[in-house]
Amino acid sequence: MSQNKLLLIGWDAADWKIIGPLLANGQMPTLKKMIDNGVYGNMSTMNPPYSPMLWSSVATGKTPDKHGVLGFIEVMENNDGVRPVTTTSRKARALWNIFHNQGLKSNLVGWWPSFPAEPINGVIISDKFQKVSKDPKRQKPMPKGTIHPKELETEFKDLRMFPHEVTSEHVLPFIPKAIKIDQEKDKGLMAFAKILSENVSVHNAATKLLRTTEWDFMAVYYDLIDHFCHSYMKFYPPKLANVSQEQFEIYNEAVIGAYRFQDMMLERTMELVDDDTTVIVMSDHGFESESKRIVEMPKVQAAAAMDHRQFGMFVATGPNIKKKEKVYGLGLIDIAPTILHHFNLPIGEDMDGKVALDIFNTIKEVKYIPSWENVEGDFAELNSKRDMDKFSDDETMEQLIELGYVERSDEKIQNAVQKTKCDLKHNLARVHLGKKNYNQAIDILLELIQEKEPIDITPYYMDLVNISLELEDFDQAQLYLNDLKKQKTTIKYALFFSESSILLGQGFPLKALKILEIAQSNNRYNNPELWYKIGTIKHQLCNYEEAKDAYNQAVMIEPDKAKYHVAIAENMVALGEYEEAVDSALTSIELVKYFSKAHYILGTALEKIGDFRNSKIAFETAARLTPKTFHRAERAIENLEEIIAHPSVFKDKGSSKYRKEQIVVVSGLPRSGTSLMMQMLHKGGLDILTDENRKPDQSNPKGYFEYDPVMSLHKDNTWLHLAKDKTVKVVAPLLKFLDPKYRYKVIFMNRELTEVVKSQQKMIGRDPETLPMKLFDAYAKQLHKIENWKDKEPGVELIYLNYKDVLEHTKESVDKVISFIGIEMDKEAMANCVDKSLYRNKA
Amino acid sequence: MKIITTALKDRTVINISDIPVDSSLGLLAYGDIGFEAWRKLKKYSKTDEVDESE
Repeated sequence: MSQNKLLLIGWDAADWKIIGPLLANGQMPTLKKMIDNGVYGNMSTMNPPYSPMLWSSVATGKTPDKHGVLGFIEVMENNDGVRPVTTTSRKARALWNIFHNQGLKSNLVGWWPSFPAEPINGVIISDKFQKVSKDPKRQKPMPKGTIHPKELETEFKDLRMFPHEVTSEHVLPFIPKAIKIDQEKDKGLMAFAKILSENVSVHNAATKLLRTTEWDFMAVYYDLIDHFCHSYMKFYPPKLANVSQEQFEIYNEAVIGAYRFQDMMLERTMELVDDDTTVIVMSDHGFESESKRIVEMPKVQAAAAMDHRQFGMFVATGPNIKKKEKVYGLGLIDIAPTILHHFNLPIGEDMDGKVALDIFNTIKEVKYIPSWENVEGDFAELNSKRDMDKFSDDETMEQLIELGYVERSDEKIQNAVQKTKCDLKHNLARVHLGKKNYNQAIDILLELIQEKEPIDITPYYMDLVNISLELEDFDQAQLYLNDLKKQKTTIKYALFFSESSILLGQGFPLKALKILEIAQSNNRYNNPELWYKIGTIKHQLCNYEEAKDAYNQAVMIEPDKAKYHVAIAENMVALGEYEEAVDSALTSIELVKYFSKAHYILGTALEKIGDFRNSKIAFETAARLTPKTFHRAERAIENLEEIIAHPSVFKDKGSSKYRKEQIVVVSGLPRSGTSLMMQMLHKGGLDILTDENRKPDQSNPKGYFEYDPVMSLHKDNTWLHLAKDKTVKVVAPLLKFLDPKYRYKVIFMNRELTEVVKSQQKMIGRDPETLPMKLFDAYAKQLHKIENWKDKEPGVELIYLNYKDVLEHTKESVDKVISFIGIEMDKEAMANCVDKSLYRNKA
Repeated sequence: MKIITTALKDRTVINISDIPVDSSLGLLAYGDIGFEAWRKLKKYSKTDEVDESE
């Protein structure tokens, strides 16, 4: 397949939630035509979702820790001040650098950041081009480096539109009631004129290049939708409670107007490319348009980005692009590798993205090189010190401040420099956090918490809390949270989320739940995440009906969140409502196709219904999506293969089949005969994993057969490999911490609960005839949880063995155990272990 | 919402008599050709001036 031209169009913040209804109403006809002739799908963003970082990742295929663009602003040379981010912050080669090296011709318009323009084979109209002063009398010449080649400056400079040129004919389609605006008090029209004129300038330059130049690759970036959303999304229907009726009526059509105008510009663009051109339209993130819109932004760095949604949009058409297909699993980090592949060029192995092969009709073999960074030759890169004059860009800074991307700089330059340095380091830590490079993130954050006034160090503590939670180090999370609370800050944190997660991790689910329920009752708005967390804890507590109510609340507020539907599906399985569980799991998969947990729960529900073959497919999909970690799915597949091959073999979670490297676990409530069973298995011929630290005593004269690391199984289960083909005793509450990567044969010792409690009372020197009801209830709940755990874990087989039966029907009990374990054992030696004289606490 | 679309497809030069002095969104969407024609029209009409001291 020969390479053809490729045009990449960036629509910052474009979101399917707004586009969908416009397509249905025929209000974005050009995009509709592209979708009908090509592929479309979600575009997953990265954290933090700050546009210069994201568009640099689009251009390089690398995460910001590698490409070096770490925010909206940068520190000037010699710490002289701060300015909007420039090309010099980028440390990795972009597509146009690689194409230059490979003899291909590129045009670039408005890319963020692309100033100063690099001397590539082609034309760069940098992001400085469209930035003009709002005041017509204060226009400055275009800075050196705005356009490459320089000779084109004269030709292009008059294509810039100025805000004061905007007429009522331009305004009224977006803001029909603009006449009602009191421009003394409301500066909304001024912001409108600046955003519109800048995007028209970009479009003018792009159309001129499309008409008049030869190129192989061209990229155009528009911030129209993003900037309109930041200014006017709060007025988008439905009206938010804290927006005035008057303002709502004036501005409620502005966002729709931006999308429609963007589509009109696309129409013209598509007229200027031939049918042999591949065209990609994409956004870097979406934009909240429903109840999660924020009317008053908190004062934190890049607060405006809190409105950015996880998923943007992607559409592509072209000769080798599939038609009318939805594609899944795309991330903006995949764009550069995909475009390199389109041009038959190799992908750098150091790139973080992958080639989106799903979009192509004919698939070519993907070629790789270790890194484009190490290739010798001319890549048209700038030498930052040599090629860049000092400049200030007050207008652009002012616009970033107005949009909420940048805080107003401190009057003291050194403070502004210090804050910017901290912000950039913090962003780098957050990139590491997003990549789960926790140690790198922690190192940076620990440095940042040493900062002094005027730096607010609480955001760094907050990230340290979150990392500790991710690492399940709940005590450390508590320490960081305590430190955070001691700091001065103007930021209002929703600390109840962290507090409840810590309590939950420390084993206090009821306290965790209470914190969330209080937060819920105090909350002015319905927060779906809060409902979801409440549902999760209720599910863990086996209050499935209440969990269902909480999850339904979350879905009502935010219906397109896949994880909420998965939670409902999992809960439905627990409620025995398997068909509903299948529906919810499928809804989740529709929203996020490559969601392994959704496929796993789907498999579980289908298995319960008896649809074993589709269940197996679902488990296989789940395992394929997370091959290194999804051991549960692998175990479930093995089980299903047995069911399909021998439907009668597998009953009640116990088979007579020996599982390779199986771990025999003896469990039960305290004083239910677990030590006796350990002794029987030992005498019967099984190896026991024990350290014999706990010595025999009057309560257990023949020994306990315990292994100390078991008691901290909830913190560390990495030693379980030592138990392969052995037997280990694990108390019932810790069973859930067994690593799902192994196969377990669990012999759960059962005893009449009254007997268990009596025996334990006696052991600790209390009156065995006084039954503490709390303890009794707790044990009953524990047994119920074991039932759920056993059903949920595909790697677990479990049989119940009654202590009394072992004593009174020893032979049958021994036979049952040997059959379950699946190997030859010494029956007589096992039976001889039973000493009926030890059965002392009958009910 | 009223968006005026202008049927200008395939034209490389626009006659300024074809466009309104206050322009339109359709004209802006058309890109450089429409914009330059509008600037020319404004110059003739002397309704506006771009003060760019370069």
